[in-house]
Amino acid sequence: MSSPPRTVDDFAAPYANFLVRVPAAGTGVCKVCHSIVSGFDVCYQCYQARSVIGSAMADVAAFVSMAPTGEQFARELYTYKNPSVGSLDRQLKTVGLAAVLWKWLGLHEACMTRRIGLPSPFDLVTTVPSTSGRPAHPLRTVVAGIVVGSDSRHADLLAIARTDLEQRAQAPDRYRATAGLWGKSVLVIDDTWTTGAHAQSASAALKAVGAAKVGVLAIGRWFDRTWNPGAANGESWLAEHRKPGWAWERCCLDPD
Amino acid sequence: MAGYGQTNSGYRFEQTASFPAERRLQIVTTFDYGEAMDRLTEQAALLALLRNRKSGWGAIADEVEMSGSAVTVLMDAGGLRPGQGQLFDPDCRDAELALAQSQRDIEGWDRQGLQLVTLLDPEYPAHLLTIHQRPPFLFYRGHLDSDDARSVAVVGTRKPSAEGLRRATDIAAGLARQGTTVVSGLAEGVDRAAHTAALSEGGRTVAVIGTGILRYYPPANRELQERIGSEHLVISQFWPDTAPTKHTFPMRNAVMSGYAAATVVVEAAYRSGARMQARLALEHGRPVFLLRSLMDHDWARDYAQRGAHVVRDAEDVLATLDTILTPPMHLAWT
Repeated sequence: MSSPPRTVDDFAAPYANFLVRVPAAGTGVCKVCHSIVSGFDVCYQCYQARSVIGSAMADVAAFVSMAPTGEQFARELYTYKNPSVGSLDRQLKTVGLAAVLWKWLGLHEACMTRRIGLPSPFDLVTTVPSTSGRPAHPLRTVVAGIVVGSDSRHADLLAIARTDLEQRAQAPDRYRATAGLWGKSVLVIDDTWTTGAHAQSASAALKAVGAAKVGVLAIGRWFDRTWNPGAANGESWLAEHRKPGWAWERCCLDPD
Repeated sequence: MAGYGQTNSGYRFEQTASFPAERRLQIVTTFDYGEAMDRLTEQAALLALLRNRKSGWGAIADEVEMSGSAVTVLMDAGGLRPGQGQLFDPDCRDAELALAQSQRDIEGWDRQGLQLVTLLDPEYPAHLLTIHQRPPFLFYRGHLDSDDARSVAVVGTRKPSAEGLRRATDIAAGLARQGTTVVSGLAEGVDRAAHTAALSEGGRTVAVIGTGILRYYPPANRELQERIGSEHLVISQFWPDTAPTKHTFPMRNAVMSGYAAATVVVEAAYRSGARMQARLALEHGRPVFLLRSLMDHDWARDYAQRGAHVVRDAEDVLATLDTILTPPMHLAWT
């Protein structure tokens, strides 16, 4: 308990050895979720979100790192919250992920707000409730307890409204907001974006109670490297887009 | 910036119940497979899933972890839908035969004194579970010890200089004197010196080998392997009779990095397993320690840039390691 404070940089630094650069939107990169696409500007999942959720979709989505299957960052996103992992390892991973998030937000929250024309930081920060119904999700500990800068703006704004949905289905009524948010801007933080169904459904619920702007930040953009849509190839897409290497200063909302 | 440049004034980690018991209970109540849902059946099912597969073990490990039960994965793969209340069914003979064969194999290995632990078992080595190359199972001789969570891997070339051998001995002895388990790969040269020094100090040493556990490679280390297996721990991620190949050693280095809390490199050229282990450890986010004498090498200076710590001795290693292994209760922006 009496250990001296350690710095965000100390804890975030080792992650630079395995974080994976997220490409800017553009040819072959989905405009919404920055993953692989062939011949369209948005991928199939984001196209689905557009048709089901429409203008209640998040105004901006950003990602700290790609999380390709079979690599260390995907493992981190699994182990930090998995109770089968011993508590020492889980605590170290939780603090590590908090440092990564903290550092990224400090550098790039402004990139998100600038993109959507907000003159100041998001008014509120929230996390997506866990589908397992776990009351104290470790991501909530990170966002509401560890990262100074998001903790004071954190509020539990979402509750699960429907439990009959497929895990990956886009649905505006998956969650309901627990407070009125008229005119507020909200940053939704999730650990992993797989299809965006949870994040986009969360955005819809927040906008239904009046949120003016919603941004989503996912720490990891899950990437199934065996998925080859159309003429594209997952492995070579990944190899090409990660090539410039990881840099903390770069944000996926910057042009490439 | 939205107030990120400050210091956290303290936080608590939420408590969670232990996983395996809870998860198994859930499976047993959801899928009524009857009484067979025990450890041996789970182990046998996992081995059956891997038996004839040369690659894709990581994907199987993922699936088994997600489901919490290798039996469930095997029976799903064999065509039995959950909830049918029957472990075997006539349409699922392959899965049934594979499971029965694996059970006989495990009993046979047990009679030869081999022990088995899988990633579903609570005593699976804690740090190892957190790397992406965690092996689905380990064969071992000796005893697992959760205190190895503070262990340090000492690695280096098979053909060290006299100075390199002395450094390997010093660092391993220094770690052992402080009660730190010394992990190495039971190769010639630095590995052998590290294991031997830890034993001479009366310390614990763990060998992570690059062959099946029934093999001895190099043959000259047979006696040392037998001693470590009877007094401490020898582990292998391969089928028990697997011969050494150019692929098994790098796979072993990944597991050694995952098992130990940190890796120390004593003396190593660019093209060496020890240098590769340092790279793997960095890519696992694990602490890497490089003896100062390595700084002649370009690769070592590059790794130091990437966050590897340059050290003189065991005291330096342990001081840094203690800080790294203590979750801080306060984090500060700078």
